[in-house]
Amino acid sequence: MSANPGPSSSALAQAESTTQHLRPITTGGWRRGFAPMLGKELGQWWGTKQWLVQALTWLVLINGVAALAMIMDPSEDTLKVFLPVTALVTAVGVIVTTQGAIIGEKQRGTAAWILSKPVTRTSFLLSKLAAYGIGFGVVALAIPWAIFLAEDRFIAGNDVALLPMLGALGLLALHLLVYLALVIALGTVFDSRGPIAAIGIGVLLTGQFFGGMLPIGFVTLLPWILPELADAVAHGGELPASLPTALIANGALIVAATVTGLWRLSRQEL
Amino acid sequence: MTTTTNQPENDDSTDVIATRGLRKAYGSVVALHGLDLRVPKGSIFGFLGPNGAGKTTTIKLLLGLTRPTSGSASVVGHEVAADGLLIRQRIGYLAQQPQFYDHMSARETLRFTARLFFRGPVRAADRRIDEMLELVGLAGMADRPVRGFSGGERQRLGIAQAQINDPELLILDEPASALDPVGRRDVLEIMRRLRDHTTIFYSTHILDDVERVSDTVAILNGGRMVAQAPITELLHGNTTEYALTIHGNGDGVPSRLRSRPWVTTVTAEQVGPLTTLNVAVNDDRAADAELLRVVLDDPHTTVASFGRTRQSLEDLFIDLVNEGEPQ
Repeated sequence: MSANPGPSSSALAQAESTTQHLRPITTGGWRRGFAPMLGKELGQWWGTKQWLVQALTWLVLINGVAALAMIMDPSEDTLKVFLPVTALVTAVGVIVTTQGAIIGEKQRGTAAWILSKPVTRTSFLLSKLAAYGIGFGVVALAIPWAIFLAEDRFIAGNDVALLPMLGALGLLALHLLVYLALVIALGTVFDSRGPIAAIGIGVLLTGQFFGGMLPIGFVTLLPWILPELADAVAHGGELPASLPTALIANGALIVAATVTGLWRLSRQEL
Repeated sequence: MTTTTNQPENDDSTDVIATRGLRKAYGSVVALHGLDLRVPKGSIFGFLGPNGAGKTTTIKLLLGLTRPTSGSASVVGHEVAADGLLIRQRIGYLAQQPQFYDHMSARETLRFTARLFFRGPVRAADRRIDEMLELVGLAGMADRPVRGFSGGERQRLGIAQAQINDPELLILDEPASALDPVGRRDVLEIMRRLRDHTTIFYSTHILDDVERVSDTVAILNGGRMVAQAPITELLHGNTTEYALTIHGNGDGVPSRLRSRPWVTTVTAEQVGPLTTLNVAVNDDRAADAELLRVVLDDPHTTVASFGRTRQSLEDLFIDLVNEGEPQ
């Protein structure tokens, strides 16, 4: 600053004339600030090396395991490996990566900074949900899924039907979104990462280890059923009878978690 | 010591900030006790207080980052509880320890901030950003990631982002407290440049800064307002003092002065050949017109020096803060 003491007051006069060319955003409502916030969040994914690191990680974890299974036993139904592995590791990835999405901003003070601007708390939370959903959807689901299709064709020699596989991808995306919404909502409840990770992983592992012991009617209402349904859908044929209930119930879980997060954030003191 | 408070008239059109009985409690701990604060438009308003006085709490309440336990506040003519977005559209804020996204450069930070306020040609936004970078002296490091910035550089970036929307009111929370002397001087210089363009409300515990740039001051202690007034008025208080140095022992001068109705107290102290008289008055005009004449009535008295004395802000601050301390 001493070397560059800044402008004379003429810079301020210039600055005032510049703002005349810019139109102030006058719209209010809950969406205020959503677009720039989403742009910022997406920039954090795609404007840094984060996406590349993530993509390579998922490639190794998901496609590596699938390729290994195909090479070891080409007659094996590789979907039985790919779908549960994808569901499990992407859910763990979401929990681990997203646990600091809200808390980190609260602790660093960037949440207070952003919310001192004309940005609603709704936009703040939904932009994170959307950006993380898009980011994970692409790097942890869409890319591994496309590579898996190629692996399945060229390594295992299978002819995969695209539409059922798209249906399965949608169910895996829903599975991922349930955990994402849960973790984001927990970020508004707790002030440290530990409980968020513990609850998220706890819910996931409960389904993994004890889901089979619980009544099917109950499991159908939770994300635990989704990898199983994805497997059924990917194999084609008749759609499972529990599919509509699972879709509605898990959609409702995402909405409930998001509404809870919004309510909590609206009451948060920053 | 008499607390000098001068509550401006209840005229919201001239106040950019007005709080009415603003109170904030965290459980049983009361951070703010019914604050009535008025910040006149166009002022550089120093919000003074020791650490823990409630300054940051007040600022967070004004920004809607926290909710009051009771009372209300309006900023730039809008109620904080109802019109938070409208208020935040028209003000700028710098936090005590400004935090930004480390992966962004200063330019990207300002671009992101500008998008929260404006639509319009990218070129116009970029021009505005360049001007802000120049204003705070960061033009040379505009494209470096913020993670490498020093405290002073972050503070300057903080001022740039707070000013990006050309706000009617700038709220700065301890803008210079974490800076070295050069950084402090720079920040105060930027504040001086901005004074013709916006109202500045800033909190601080650095009294020297307040005397250098503020025109109005409020002093907060233990969550209570102990004084609010233009700084000149606050420093002079209700009584004005004059100091005279005369040659000799000044026999008869104190008694002549005490006979005047506008003189409240006179003290005299002789050191060597000179006598210093401290004269407190309750009518500045009468004193300005007559005091020296009364002294010089005696043809044997010669005056070595004469002038108004000024209480330092530090003295006043310590007096006011100590008054509020439990005995």
